[in-house]
Parts: sequence; structure tokens; C-alpha cells
Amino acid sequence: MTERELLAAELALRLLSEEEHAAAQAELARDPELAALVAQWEGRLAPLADELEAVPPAPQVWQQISASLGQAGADNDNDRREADLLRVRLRRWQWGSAAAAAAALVLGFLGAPLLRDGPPVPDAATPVLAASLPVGSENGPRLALTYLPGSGDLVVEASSVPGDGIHDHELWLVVPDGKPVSMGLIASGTQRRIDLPADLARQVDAGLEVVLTREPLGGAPKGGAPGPVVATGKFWAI
Amino acid sequence: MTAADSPDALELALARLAGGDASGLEQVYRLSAPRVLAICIRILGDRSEAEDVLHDTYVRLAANAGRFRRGHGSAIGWLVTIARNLSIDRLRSRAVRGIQLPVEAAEAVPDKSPDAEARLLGAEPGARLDGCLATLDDAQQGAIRSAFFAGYSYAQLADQRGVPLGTMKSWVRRGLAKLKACLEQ
Repeated sequence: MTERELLAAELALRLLSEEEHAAAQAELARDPELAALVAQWEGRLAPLADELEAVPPAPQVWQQISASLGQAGADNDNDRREADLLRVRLRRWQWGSAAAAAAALVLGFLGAPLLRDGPPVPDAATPVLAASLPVGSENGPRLALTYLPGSGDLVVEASSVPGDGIHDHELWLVVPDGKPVSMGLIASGTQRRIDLPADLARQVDAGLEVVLTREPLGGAPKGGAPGPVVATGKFWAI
Repeated sequence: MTAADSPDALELALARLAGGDASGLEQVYRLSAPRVLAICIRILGDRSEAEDVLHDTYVRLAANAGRFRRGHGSAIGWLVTIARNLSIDRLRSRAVRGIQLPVEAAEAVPDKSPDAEARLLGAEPGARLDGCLATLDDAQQGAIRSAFFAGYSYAQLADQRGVPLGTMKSWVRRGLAKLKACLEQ
């Protein structure tokens, strides 16, 4: 058996120390083949649990699960108005005219609160995701995003994006059927590592849409409308 | 296992959930929660903490059902894996927080499956795994089972058996290699 297969088995069984495990998680995030080997070992070992006698849970556990998921639904309702606004803007940007985009500018918008506590626990099958957004022209500089499911980190690489001295960009993740969530301001020529909150990290998957808006240097005034959409892209698995 | 919680019914319910039918979740829960809770209780030795983890497992499932892939084995195996990992996360954070449960809460893991022979006669999914584990020597088998059921790391296994860490690693690694070879026969 190769070292990689042994490592996969050790990860599946959780034999390593927490430090070693964390280091290996980073490797997992970069290495879908290793993640597949871990999944295979997990599948091999899971039948061991068959020998345990099933234990019916207390009835309130299901009620709590329902309540947790129902609450998430209610949160989405509250945020729907904001989501709709950015969607309208997106559609107009994608289809359309400068006039429509200008009209969209007057729509009010409040960025959703961003970070919550708790690291995401990665799904071993989640691959590393990437997105590349052209800034300016299609062949011009690009904003590169890499999402590492192991750590829940989103790495934003804007080193090659030139600054014009008067604008920064704001990055948004468009969560399916939910709200667009601001990842904050991306200054030209910089790199950032954003630690995604667990509930957001769970929703990051291939195909998730990413939007870049143009903002005044240092960001829009608090509570102000977001700037115009300048680029969109989608995550894909690498 | 009764016909009502046959693996097929669970796979179908999970497929419905993955396809966006939220009502699939309750059925997945009904068909699998007692077995998922069993592994949480086994690892955590505490029913109330185990039910917390059970809750987290299905909330997480609701967000990730679309990511279930066949490569992961059976649906129940996938759920057991999620729950086992969450239980071990909690166990280790408990260790970091310095919380100790009474010793009797952590039930000893037997070196061999208690009813291995009975299971070998049946066609249960675990029978093949049991058969292969039985080909390992007792120390290897015992260590792998303790890692699975108690969530022990190499360091804890070495402590428990009173052997150096390096010795424990090579036991377990040899055992895993042998296990894989047997399962692939």
C-alpha cells in the first residue's frame, strides 16, 4: 500500500494528532485524488458501525432539526428583498443597457452581515474550487479566486488588477435561492485570505456565482447602494 | 434490519433529498437516525452530546445532500462517517477544554466483533469487513477497532496499550495494508 493510501486510511480513521490532521486537511483540499481515497476508506470502514445496536433518538431531536432548518428559511425570507435587488442589477448588467444599469444604481442596498463563528468541517468529496473574473476587458487582468474546502478559506488574488486610483472592488457570493453575501472590499494589487463562516462555506460549490461591483476607494458609505456590477463568474472544480 | 429500513429505501430518500425534495430529509432521518445515534453515543459516551451531534449531522446533510457520491459507499455509511467525524471533533475539543467524563462512560472496545461469527453467516454489509478484520492479529484488529469506535488517535492507542508511538503506528499501518488487500480480493 502506498504512503498516500496509508495517509488516506489514517485520515478516515482519524488516527493523526490534531496538528497533523489539520495539515493533512490542507493537502486534501488541494488533492481531489487523496480526498477520493479517504472517501473510499470511509466507505470501507463504515460497516463496522453495523455491529452497534440502533438507538432511537428522543422525539425532540427531529423537532430541533426542523426548527434549525425552518429558521434558516425565515432568515432567507428576510434577506430576499436585498437578494432581489442585486439580482435585478445583475440581470440588467448581463442583458443590458447603460440606461438600465444607471437606473439600477438608485436602488437601495444594505450589505448582509458577513462573518459568523465556527470553522467549516469539510466534506471529503468537495474539490478545490476556482473562479476567474475579467476586470475591464475579457483579455485584460483577472481577479482570481480559489476556495479551499479543507480550511473554508477563500483566497482572493487581485495582484494583477491595476488600480485607477479612484476605485476598489467589492466581491459578492450569490448563494442559490438566498442572499448575495458581501466578501468585503478587494483593493487593487492586493491578496486576501477570507475565512468563510461555516454556514456560508457549506453552500460554496461548483457553479456558485461570484459578482464584482465597482466601489469608491475605501468602499461605499455605510448603507449606501453598491456600485455597478463590473464582472461575474462562476466557481468550477479544479 | 427490517424491510422498512432497508438500504434501498434510505438510498431513495437520500436521492430525493439530493434532488431538491426537502421532504426527503425527514424520511432519511427516520430510516437512519437510530443507527447514526448509536455511533455518536459509542464515541462520546454521553447521550445528550450524542443527540447534539445527531442534530448537527442532519442539518449539515440538508445543506450537502447534493454532494453524496457513490464513491463514498452506502448512504448509511456516508451518514455514519459524517456523524463519526463530528463526534470525534467534539471529543477532541472536549479534551482541549479539559472536560473528563466518568471512566465508566467510555465503554471498553472489544478486540473482536462480539458476534462476528453470526454475522459471517449472514449477508450483512459488515460481514466481509469482519471476515477481513479477523485475518489480522489481535493487536492490529484491536487498535483499528478502538480507533473506529472510541475515536482514539495513534497517541491514545499507544498509551492505552502501553507501547511506543512508533510501534503502534507500524502495527496499525500493517493492519490497514492487510485489511485492504483482503477486501480487494
